[in-house]
Amino acid sequence: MSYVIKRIGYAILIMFLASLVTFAALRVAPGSAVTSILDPARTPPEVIERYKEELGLNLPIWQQYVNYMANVLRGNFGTSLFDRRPVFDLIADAALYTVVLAFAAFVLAFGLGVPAGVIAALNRGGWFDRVIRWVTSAFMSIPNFVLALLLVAILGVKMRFLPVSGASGPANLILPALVLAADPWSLTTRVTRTAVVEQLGADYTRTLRARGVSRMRINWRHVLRNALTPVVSLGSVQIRTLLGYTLIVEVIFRWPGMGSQLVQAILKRDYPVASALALLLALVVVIASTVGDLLLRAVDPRIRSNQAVIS
Amino acid sequence: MSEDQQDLRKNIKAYTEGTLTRRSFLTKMAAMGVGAAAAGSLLAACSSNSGGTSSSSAPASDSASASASASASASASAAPVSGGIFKEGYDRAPTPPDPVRNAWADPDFNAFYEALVVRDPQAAIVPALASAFANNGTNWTFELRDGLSFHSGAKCTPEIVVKDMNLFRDPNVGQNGIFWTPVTSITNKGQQIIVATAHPFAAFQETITTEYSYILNPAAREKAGDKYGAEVIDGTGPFELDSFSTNEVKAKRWESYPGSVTPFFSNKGKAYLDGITWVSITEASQRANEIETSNVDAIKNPPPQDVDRLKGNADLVVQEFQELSNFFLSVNIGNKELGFDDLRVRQAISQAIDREGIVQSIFLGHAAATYGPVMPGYVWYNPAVEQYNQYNPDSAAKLLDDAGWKLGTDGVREKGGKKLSFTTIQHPDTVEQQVMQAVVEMLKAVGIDMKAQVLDDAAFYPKLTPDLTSYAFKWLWSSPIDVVALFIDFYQPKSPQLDEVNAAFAEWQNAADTDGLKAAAFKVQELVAKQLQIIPLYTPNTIWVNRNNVMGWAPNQANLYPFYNDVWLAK
Repeated sequence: MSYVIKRIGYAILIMFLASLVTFAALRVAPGSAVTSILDPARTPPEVIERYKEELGLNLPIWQQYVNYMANVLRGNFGTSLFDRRPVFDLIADAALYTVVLAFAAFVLAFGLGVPAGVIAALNRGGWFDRVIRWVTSAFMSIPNFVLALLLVAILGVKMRFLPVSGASGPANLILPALVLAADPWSLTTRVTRTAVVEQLGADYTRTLRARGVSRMRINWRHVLRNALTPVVSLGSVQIRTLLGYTLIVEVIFRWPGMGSQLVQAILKRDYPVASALALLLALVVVIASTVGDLLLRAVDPRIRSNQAVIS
Repeated sequence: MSEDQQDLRKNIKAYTEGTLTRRSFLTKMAAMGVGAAAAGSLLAACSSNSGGTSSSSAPASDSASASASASASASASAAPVSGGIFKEGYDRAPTPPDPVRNAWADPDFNAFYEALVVRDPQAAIVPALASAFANNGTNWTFELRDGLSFHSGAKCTPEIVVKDMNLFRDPNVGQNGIFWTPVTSITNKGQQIIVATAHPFAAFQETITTEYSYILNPAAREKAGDKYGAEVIDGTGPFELDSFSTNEVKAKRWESYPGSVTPFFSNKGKAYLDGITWVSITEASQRANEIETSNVDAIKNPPPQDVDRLKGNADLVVQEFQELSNFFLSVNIGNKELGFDDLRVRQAISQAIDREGIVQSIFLGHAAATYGPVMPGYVWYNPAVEQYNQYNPDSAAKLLDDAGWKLGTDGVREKGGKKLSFTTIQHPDTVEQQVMQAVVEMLKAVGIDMKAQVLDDAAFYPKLTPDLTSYAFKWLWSSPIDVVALFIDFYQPKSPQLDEVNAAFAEWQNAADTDGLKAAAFKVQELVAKQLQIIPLYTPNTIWVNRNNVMGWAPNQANLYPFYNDVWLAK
């Protein structure tokens, strides 16, 4: 229990630091929201000052931060300076798209990666194993934006098989999800394969075999369960990676999620939107890490006992 | 119907019936003064009716009228069909359309709003909300049409138009108040709106036709506050706001639209389209992909390297002409340390730049080198500018030598221990970055060490002051002389070197008629080309691509964006 409380405490501390860093980074970046909206050449200085005052941008940065956090803690994320809509509504719209995309990629990465890794390990040296190793190497070495451009050129422009961008229907999800899933799928497959191979050679596997336990039962009940520890651990890391890649993939495929919204907001210095999105992304990463650690502890009894010894 | 129109229809009929070949059709169109772009649109229109396909290309020199007549004729060649959503890929992120406060106008302005008067494709001023207008010395008068209203149902009265104009000219409110400074009062007498000016002000025609003079309901704007443009738009245009976001703007047909009297619109009633969606596609190659895969119906500005491929696509119509823009390099004429106050140094920089090389290698010919501050396609372009600023690196080197900037051992010139080394700032546009990289190399060849720093809008504009050493920028504005005056007057420090050009700008602003405007425009261009308060580089072609089932969408050189009254989608 104390471990859980400690992890949550860390999570809160990290969130506080993340909010501070993102808030400050946006404010110290050159330029301001006011000059994105009003052309300084054509606007009298007093009008610019008045507008700054309206937005609270003339206050010292620490005071802006305190005001902002006070509002955030009350659930008020402010209004977008450009869309002029409540930030909460904007993010809610975009979050749905990001969650759908990330979930689709996650399902592809783990739903296909784990079985592929297991089958490759069980057929080590066979044709399937060789193909998997080749494909995963290729996907891991090709940057995902290059893969995106290749898929767009071949499946979209040349073959007219899939829509290349936008979010007008379910088919629009396929290309971005494939691109987003390529790297995590490769990693999941490889980690699973290595873990299964390792478990297949372990002493307990030999013992089970000697006791006449069926191969199917050994592989899927004992080996897979033990091999899953690094895969689960990888899962929480992969969520962070997926979120990072989502920014690029959403921009390339014009997928209207949080990633493309964050890029736009930063470029335009739409502070309320950029701050809220950065905060939310940090929250997702922190939750993923915390849940990942807790899950790992649940799956692997050695971690529990080590922590018990340490504490 | 004029003789030309009769001939046009006869040829279209012959082509659709198969008695006229494509080549003969194009030849006949050329003989009638219809450019390739226009003829291409016609062919596309004919093809979509006859089941065939076609595409076209247009040289940069094609006239603005070509596209417009193409559109009008295309519409005339088949009965327009109502319905459908027209999806247009736009090269920027849209801003909430508000003629009073916006620093930038997007294409949706032409759907939501209308002006009192508008430019036709030949750049002549023609009626829109005003049925007639006149310029009588120090008075401009506009006769507002009867029976006009806003989307909300509120009446559009002369009193409201007066109120709008007072908002536009108030520098504390109107983003473009500076262009209204000669205006002393705005009143109305019945349906007549009278704009009194301190002196003859023919250049007011430039101001009144920009998107920033489009008429809106000021009461709705005031009531909506910051939400105006994003949640509420109350204009008189043929479309109403459906939804706004910085990714996508949606408009729906305004069913109570009272119609238009604008002569170059063939549709005088309500719009054909059910709606329009403007989609922000900021990456140029992505725009090309999306038009090719039918994700959108039209786009603006695919990347230069994709233009030929798009022209070869039988499902697409490609039109291009010079944009109402110019990309220039500016060096601070008050900077003595770097010698920018010395005309010879500015001339050296200018002559070291191979503009034609840039046009051919980076734009693949889809741009025009500019030796004066406005594009060669401008209605009052002065060809005399071409005697200045021609590429001549030897002359550039000599000018620098004469100015005392001697080549150092590191290949960079210096004078009195000061290196001729500086940084210029620019926007993150991909093509503009390529251009500036080329310019950096060209200047290096004559011993000038220039670095190009890329800044996004929010960081760029605050640096844009008369103290800035150097910047590169592309303006996009329907009144070139006004905008050149703005850049020179606002971002160069006060200097006697501006006296002559400022006097020419004053002549422009005081001109009483078109002849006076033309004379002043000529003078401004030659002075800038000679004295280089800004160093002009090139004007890109604006390239418009539409799928060949899109009819009546007629971008033209006189307006920044096409109008939507005539647009319809063939089945």
